Amino acid sequence: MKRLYLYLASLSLVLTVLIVLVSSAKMVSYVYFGGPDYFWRISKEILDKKRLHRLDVNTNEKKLIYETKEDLLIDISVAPTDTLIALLVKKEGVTPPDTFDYIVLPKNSLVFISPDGNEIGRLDEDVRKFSWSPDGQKIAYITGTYYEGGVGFKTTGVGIFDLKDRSKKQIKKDFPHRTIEGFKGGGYEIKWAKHDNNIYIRDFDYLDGIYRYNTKTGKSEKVDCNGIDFSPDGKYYIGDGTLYLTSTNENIMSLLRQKFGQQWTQFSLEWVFDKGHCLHFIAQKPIQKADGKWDYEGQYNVIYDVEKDEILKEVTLPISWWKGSPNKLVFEKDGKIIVETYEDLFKK
Amino acid sequence: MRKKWIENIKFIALILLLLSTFGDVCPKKTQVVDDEYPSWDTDGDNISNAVETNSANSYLGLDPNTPNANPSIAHGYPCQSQGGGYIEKAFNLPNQGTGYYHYNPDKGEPLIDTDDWGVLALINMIEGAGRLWVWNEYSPPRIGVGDLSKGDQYTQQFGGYFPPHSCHQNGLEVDIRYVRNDDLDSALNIAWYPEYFDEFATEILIRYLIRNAHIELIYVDTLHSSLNHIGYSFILHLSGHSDHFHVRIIDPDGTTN
Repeated sequence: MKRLYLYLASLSLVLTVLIVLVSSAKMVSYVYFGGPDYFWRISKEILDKKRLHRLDVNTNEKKLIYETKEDLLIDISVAPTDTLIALLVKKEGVTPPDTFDYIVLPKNSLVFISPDGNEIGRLDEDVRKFSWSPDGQKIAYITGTYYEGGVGFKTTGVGIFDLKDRSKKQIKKDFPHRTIEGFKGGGYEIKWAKHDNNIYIRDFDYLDGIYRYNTKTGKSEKVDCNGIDFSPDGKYYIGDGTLYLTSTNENIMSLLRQKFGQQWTQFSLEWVFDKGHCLHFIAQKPIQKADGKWDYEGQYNVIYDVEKDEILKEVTLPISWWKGSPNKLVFEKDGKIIVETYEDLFKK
Repeated sequence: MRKKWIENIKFIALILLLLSTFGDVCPKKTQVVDDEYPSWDTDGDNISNAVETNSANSYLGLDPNTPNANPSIAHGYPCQSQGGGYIEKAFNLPNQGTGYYHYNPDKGEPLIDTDDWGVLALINMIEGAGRLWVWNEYSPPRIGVGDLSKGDQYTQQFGGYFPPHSCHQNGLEVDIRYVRNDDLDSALNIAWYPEYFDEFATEILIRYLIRNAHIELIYVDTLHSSLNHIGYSFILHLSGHSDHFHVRIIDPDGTTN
């Protein structure tokens, strides 16, 4: 009997250890609690760009949640699900004392943190461009070596990082790359499209080609289009600051010209929200001076429904440095932020 | 007798010395010197003496004392997406000149005279802006000039595919550093180190470039500068331009060739 108790006790101990091991292996090491009320911003202070702050819009509380030990935080992107934040961190290159020209080139890391600032993973592969998957669980990225000029780097690889199991997959080998004069080509722009869940890469090759990496089959193919930044519903796309209709590749920037006049200019054309085809851009209104020449007055933000050819909103407030998921567009007024969502706009 | 010989030799040497000096002052009949021509282009052919005497341009057979025709032609288009292009008889930008220096961004392979070729109008724009920069006492720092188009004086192949640029193919484009406020001839990323950015001086520099060429477009970073407020509709924002701005001139020989 004593032996049986001993056997059962040791068995339960072994089982407990096994359960703990299995559950810890499956456990996701970050917590989903970002919610719609938090926004994040790299420190605005010029000499303090190592810090990330979080704003709670309900309480207006600002909190320092992360500080890098590296040189600088240079970019921030919040996952579409608001649950993770990707920070592009610059690691200092080496410059001689009397100049700022690198003798050892700087490198980047992509650091992933939870909404409360806990580091949950990193890619130390000199990441240059990246794009979240629509489910916010993976990231597609381009690695490259710093280059002062051109697109800013020489591509070394394209990959996918899965934040659930921390696995990496190099997808460059699946591309029909060629070696051109010692340069191995490679992507220089990357977007994970919402409408078909595939990855689009603009690639250096003799035709400046655009490739679609099918995330289900793992195959890639060259596609006939002029850009890779698709609207969430896939009906339109942006390429080189121009707007196109996906079905025909027709340049439809004339729509905007007709609406705003020939002298009108726009900057920072981008899709906003996670559905539909709402463009956000910064516009400048032209004014004709007494001498007949054109000048431009102050900038303002426009949210525009392409299909309806309708201006949904014009805002003169500046775009906030506080960042949330792409579902929200955030403006700033007197230190407070004003959030625009797709639902709010269409409710009105 | 020996004294007389010495006197004669002295006299001949004096005559020769005078003649040689005279020769310098008074050019030969074949030389073209006109007071109307500026000191940097003494034969008035719109190709600077510095460019004409630049060894990388020796294949063009230029003479700073004789007017030369401009042989450079931009073929095709600047960008890969437009079909690309190349340069016929490109000019090499001297590695430094009045008010500017050329830097080589390719730290791994710093080859001289491989990334600084263009049509004459582009070279003249850089040199012209450099002179204005010095005359108006903005230097130091000097203007930091990066990649133009690629080229090789020995194979005489100029332009074409030039990664990691998607354009820069037919000698009409150049990358230029933003101006630093600490007088250093060094790199500056205005997104990373805005505290070193002299935006006013950069605006002046852009104006000097505009005065010296017919500009098609200038790409700047307007997220970290207000350079699009200068008042020219061809100054546009393009991401990836926080450590340089990109200037494209209008093709001087038209876009049909």
